[in-house]
Amino acid sequence: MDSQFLLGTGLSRTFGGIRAVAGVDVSIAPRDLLCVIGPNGAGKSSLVGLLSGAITPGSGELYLDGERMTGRPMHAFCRRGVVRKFQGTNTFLTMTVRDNLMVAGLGVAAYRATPMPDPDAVLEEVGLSGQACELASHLPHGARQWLEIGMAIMCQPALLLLDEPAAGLSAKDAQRLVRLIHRLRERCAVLAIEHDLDFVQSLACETWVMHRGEVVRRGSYAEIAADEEIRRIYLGRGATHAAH
Amino acid sequence: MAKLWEAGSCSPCQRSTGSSMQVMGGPVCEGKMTGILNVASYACVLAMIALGLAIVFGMMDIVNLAHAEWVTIGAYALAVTQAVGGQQAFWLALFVAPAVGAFLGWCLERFIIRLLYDRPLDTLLATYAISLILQKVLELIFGTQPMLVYAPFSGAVPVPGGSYPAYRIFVIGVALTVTAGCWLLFARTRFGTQLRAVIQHPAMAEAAGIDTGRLNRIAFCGGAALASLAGVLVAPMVSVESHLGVSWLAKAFFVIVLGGIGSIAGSILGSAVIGTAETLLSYRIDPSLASAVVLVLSIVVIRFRPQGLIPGFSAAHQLLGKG
Amino acid sequence: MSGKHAGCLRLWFSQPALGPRDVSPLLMWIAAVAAVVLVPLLAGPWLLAMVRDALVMGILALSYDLLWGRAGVLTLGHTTFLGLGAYGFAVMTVQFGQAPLTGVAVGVLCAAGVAAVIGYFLLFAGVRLHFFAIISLAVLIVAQQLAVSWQSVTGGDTGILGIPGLSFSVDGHAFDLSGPRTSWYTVAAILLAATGLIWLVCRSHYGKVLNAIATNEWRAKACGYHTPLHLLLVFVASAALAAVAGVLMAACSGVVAPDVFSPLLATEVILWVAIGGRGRIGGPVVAAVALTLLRQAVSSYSTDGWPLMLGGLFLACVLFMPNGLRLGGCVVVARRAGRAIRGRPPVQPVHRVGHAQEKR
Repeated sequence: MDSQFLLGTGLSRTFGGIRAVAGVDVSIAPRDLLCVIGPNGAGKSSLVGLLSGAITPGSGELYLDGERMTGRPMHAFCRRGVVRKFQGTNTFLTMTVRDNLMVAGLGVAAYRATPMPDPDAVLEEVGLSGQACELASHLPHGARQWLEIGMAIMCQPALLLLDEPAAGLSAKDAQRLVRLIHRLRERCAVLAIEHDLDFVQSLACETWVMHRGEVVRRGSYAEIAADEEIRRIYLGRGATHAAH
Repeated sequence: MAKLWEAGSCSPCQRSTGSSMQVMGGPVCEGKMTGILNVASYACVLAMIALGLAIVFGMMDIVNLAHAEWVTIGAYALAVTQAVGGQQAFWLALFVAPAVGAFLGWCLERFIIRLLYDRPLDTLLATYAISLILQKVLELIFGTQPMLVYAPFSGAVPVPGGSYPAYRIFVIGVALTVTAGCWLLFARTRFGTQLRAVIQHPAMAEAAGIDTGRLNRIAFCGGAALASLAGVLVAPMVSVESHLGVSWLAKAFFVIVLGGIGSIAGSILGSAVIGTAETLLSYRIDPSLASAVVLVLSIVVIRFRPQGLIPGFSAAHQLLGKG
Repeated sequence: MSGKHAGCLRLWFSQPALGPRDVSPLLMWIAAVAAVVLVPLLAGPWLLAMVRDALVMGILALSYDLLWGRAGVLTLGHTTFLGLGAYGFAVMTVQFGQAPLTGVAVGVLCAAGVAAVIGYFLLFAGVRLHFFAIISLAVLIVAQQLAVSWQSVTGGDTGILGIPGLSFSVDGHAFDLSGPRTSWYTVAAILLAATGLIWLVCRSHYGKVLNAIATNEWRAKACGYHTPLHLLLVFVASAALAAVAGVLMAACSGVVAPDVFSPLLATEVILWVAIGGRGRIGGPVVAAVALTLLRQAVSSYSTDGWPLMLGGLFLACVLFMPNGLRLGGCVVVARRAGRAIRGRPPVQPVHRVGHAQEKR
């Protein structure tokens, strides 16, 4: 059995009276691929925030490779391989695309004393080779999503947290992303939050459903999609077909 | 204690005239009661000045570094009113000065601040430039010699342990009333609720139909008026010259650091703490060391409790960093 | 582990290959070197001393450009470090009779130490922006007060007089750098060296990192950077460089007074960087030299004129020229001649994302 890369027990976080995450147990192995779905406000983003160190858990413990990481700052998580691709776009707007990637890669590479991934290769992988010298602020939204993904790759992740990666992407781009994620899986674990259920279906991986801060179901996508209860959570009473 | 905070060159001439709160802070008569009254008078005036700064910071995300100049403007307004109308014109000045302050505050907001709404840090710099200009302009208009102002009445009131100047009791009374009035406005009226909504979440308040722009302007002018009123009250106790306000700016700022942004209760508490600390310390040690101690205290507080002792749930808290 | 650290430093500071963008800075630097060599041959001692003092201000501007222009840390009290350097040098050489080199070391270490303590306390707690700026102003004001009241050491209001010029001895050979020409060459050499060094740092990977932290600190943290540490390093380096300027100022003029801790001068420093262009290195230096000379000119006519002009310039710059003036020789000449500066039409400033972040 693979040793667990990330282990979280009883993770909870409350924001002003609302339980965003309530007693979630997480265990991710080095080559896992999993998706987290759930209605709005279910706590998916908060969970990712907890796992990446952006938010400190109110209670519960978090371990990376056996090392206790509860309450450590975000950059410590990144250096140990938990890299988050953000939901909106949060790039360095005044710098060029290539510089964005360089900066993303330098920190971790310097810390670990390992060579940085080649920025040009990553540009190729995300399809931004033509825009290497453009300012990030000039990129259209879809391209900026790819830049974010590229920056996440440059951080040499051991666990890649994707926060709504398919948002704003065309169907063709979404499929490209699915192929990229399957390629990335050879190097790292991937956890994706998504609303787009077609995308989740294409990934064909283990899926968790969150509802009101708790993980209510874990299973393959096929099992989840067939589950009446899940459909009810997502769509409310009386739904008869899967959401799109 | 003005000499602690004077900007610009430190020439002997300026220092000897900058007696400021030294008059206020020095013991009139030894005794616990006089000590308490000294602290109270200082803290109350400080609260009036800091209130405007705190609310504007909380609502508009901007620090108005020129805020303390309105104290100077209030003091000069008193001087001019009394030069024209005699000693009893003090009562007139109590209304004239805030009006002048509010008007000038409106001008500042209209012509400068409004251009910089999307650049909060540049507002800091712009208001800093304005304070430099204002100080110089006041100096050019009124000269470098301190102006004459008179308290409306003199005499002392017997208190346990000795006697205390009646005018300072008056100052405490006015400042307390005004501050209490502001708190009531803030906490108990519909208008105050709208103000608090803007402080907590401007976008949401706007979406709920509150005219945030108008409220911002009202708050800005209100803060300016408060500062000018404080200037009138303070003027008979200090030397009225162009650097009067500078000593208050840093202290008002420390009040915000301690008391949190956008919170009236916080400003009052912060003023009490700073007022007590400075007054008590200046009895024992050199005033410049006293201000150094207060500075260190503020740095320590800001490091360990950046949201202040009573946070005001302001969106501006993000400005405290945590980034 | 030293191999790891050496590799780390190599990675941070590795220089990209020389490209077309490097041509004009290199040319300007070479032109500056030429000017530095030629000017003493043409100018008399009084003019030389005046421009030399302006060059010292250039070093101060450089230090602030590194701090604010490049790393995005706004402070209102940068002249604290100028004063600490000047007073450290003065106290060591005059009160304690030490060699000038010791004075230099003490001055610089003093400023670096204060910056390290304040920086560690505040930056590591996440204090930024307004609060950091205003606390730096308060530190400056307190420093001025302490300089006045600590009479036994600092000479109080009058300050310290009779500060010796720079000199040092190597193997029994004494080098006296206090003469008009030698002091010019010393100051200019330090300015050129510092400019060159900072230019090299800024074009290396580390410059990009600093730029990223200034643009979007939250994102930089998410990329694995311990941002408070980097900001602290820059803060301390900037303070040290400002202290060097302070030492040079004290050594060249022979006197230091509490008005070196001047909020007015601190405002000018901000203006130099704002006009010269934040992060443009050469621009702020030129702006500093030009505006210092302008200040001398204006002040000799009227003492009230300069603060008003400074305030007005500052305001205009903040309102209308958020990205600084284009560095053009003609503009510099126009300023030097005291003609009105033509402002550009209101520009939309390049947007620096401040704090896109989540609640903790």
